[in-house]
Formats: sequence, structure tokens, C-alpha cells
Amino acid sequence: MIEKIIAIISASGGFILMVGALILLYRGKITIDAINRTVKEKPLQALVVEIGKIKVRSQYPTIALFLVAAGCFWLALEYAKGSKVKITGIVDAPNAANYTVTYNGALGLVYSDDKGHFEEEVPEDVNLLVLEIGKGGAVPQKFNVYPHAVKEWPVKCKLDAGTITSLVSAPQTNNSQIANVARPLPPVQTQ
Amino acid sequence: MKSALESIFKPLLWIAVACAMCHTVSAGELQVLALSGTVMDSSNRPLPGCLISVVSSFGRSAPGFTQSDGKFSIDVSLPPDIFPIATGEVYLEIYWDRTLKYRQPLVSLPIASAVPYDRSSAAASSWPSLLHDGGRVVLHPITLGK
Repeated sequence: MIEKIIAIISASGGFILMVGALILLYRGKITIDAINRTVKEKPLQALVVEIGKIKVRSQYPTIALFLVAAGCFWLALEYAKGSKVKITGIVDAPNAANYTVTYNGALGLVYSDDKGHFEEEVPEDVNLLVLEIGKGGAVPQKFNVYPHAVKEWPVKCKLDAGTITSLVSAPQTNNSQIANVARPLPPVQTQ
Repeated sequence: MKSALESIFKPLLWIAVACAMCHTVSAGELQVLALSGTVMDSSNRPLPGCLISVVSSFGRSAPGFTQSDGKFSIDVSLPPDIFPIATGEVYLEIYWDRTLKYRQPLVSLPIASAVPYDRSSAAASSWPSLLHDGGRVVLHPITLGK
């Protein structure tokens, strides 16, 4: 919780500094020139920031200010992306290949490989994933996965007979039912 | 040097402000369309295990399966700023395993019943309005195949 508050403060501070620097620059209150001749005589002393062993020095304080602010903002954004955790599973069925696995709660979709394995990266703070596993003609089956409670990966998803057996055969493809698209569409499988 | 750098920073200021405003508006107006229906084969048998999703060049909804009775239900979140320009470019897709079997513009599909979230206007049950304001839509059964 405290980390999120720090990230929000950092992002807000960085953003305000960036916008503020740009507004002051736009209104002519500050310039991009070196700060003045006195400082030019002692170059690299107009603005000095020291964080531990990292030292930032510049005689162009506006640019330096902007870069420091952008750095704060970028770091906060990187933190906000959050880390991900890999979810792996195995479809337990006689012919486990090519099942479709959807991840409700992470908006993803993957296909199991020839041995029934599947994997997907999801945000680390997801507490419950509802996996729905199915194939054409069979009744899909749901599995609740609590990523933080799983002790051994991959999770085993044992399918019922209803999900294994296709009740109907594949419908014929009717090309007139597949509209052409002007612009490329995102793929159905998670990248 | 000074004028060159300032000419770069000035547009950046306006871009940053515009981006911040756009983001705020989009996040505030995201609408949800609860879409449901039934998928049948040419013999009018329900087709379970079909994968349904709504897609446009802006993104793809969370997919959902048809159940044993061929019925499906998915929630579609679409930002309103793509409408009304691109209403014809939002498609309903149906996959049988990895094979695309059906793709039609959402606005071309007949509505069996609709409950718009915004009931103030007479046209609230039309596709453009539903896509803009959100609502619950039940489609007429979709038949795959010849």
C-alpha cells in the first residue's frame, strides 16, 4: 500500500514538474540558455543533484529539471505496470492437444500444446483466475485457480467426460459469413 | 539554439496537456455492453464450445464459450471515442477451436431484445446508441454453416 502511495506521489510530482517547467519556459520565465555568465565561468555548477553515488550536474537548469521530472514520472510508470506471474497448467484428458483456455480475470486466451500444457502471464495482484477450458462441440469446464495459494505448478485441470467428448461435429465454413476487414484486427490468442 | 529548443518544448507542452485531458475523458466514459445470444448449426442444433468475442482495430473483448445449449454471454468494454465513426468496424467473431467460422459487423446483427442503460432517447435501442451508452443486448440466434 505504501509503495503505491509513493508511486502516485512520484508520478504526480514528476508530471507537475514537467508541465510546470514547460509552462515557465513557454511564458518566458525561464530560458534554456546557460543560467548566466557567472555560472558559465564555473561550468557544470548551475544545478547539482546528488542521490547517493549518482550525481547529476548541468549548467542548463531547465533541461536538467525537465529530465529529473521525466525520470520520476518514468520510474513511477514502470512501477505502475506491475510485475507479472507466470501461470502454468496441464489439461488432464486422453487427447489433451488444442484445447482453448480462457482466463477470466486476466482477459487472456491460450491454446494447450500437444501434451496439454499451457501457460500465461497474468498480473501479480490477481487473486482469483477462472480458467475455462473447452473445444469445439464440447461443453466447456471452469476451474478456479488462486495463484497465491498454489504450491505446485503446473496446476492440473482434470476434464469431465462432457468436456472431452464433442457432442456435434464442426459446422461447415461458409465464406459469406466471414466479412473482410479494412484494417488488421488483434489476434484472438494472447501475445 | 535557444529558439530551436523552445520550438520543441512548446508543442510538447500542448501534447502533454492534451494527452492528460483525453485520458481522463476516456476513463470516465468507458461503457459496457452485455451481449448474449445463441449459436446453432444449419440443422438448428445448439453448438457448444464455440469461442465468441467482439473485436475492432482498437482491441478485443474478453472471449467467452457457448455452453451446452449454445448460449453465450460476454461483456464488451468499448471506449466511446471510436463512435460513431467506426460502428461498422466492430465485429462479432466466432471460432471453432482455432478456425474462424463467423465474422460480421455487430451493427448488422438483428437484436432480439435490448435494455439500454440510457433510456432517455427514443433511439436508445439502436446499435449506435447501445455501443455509445452501453446496455444489455440479446441477439437473434446465429446459424453457422451453409
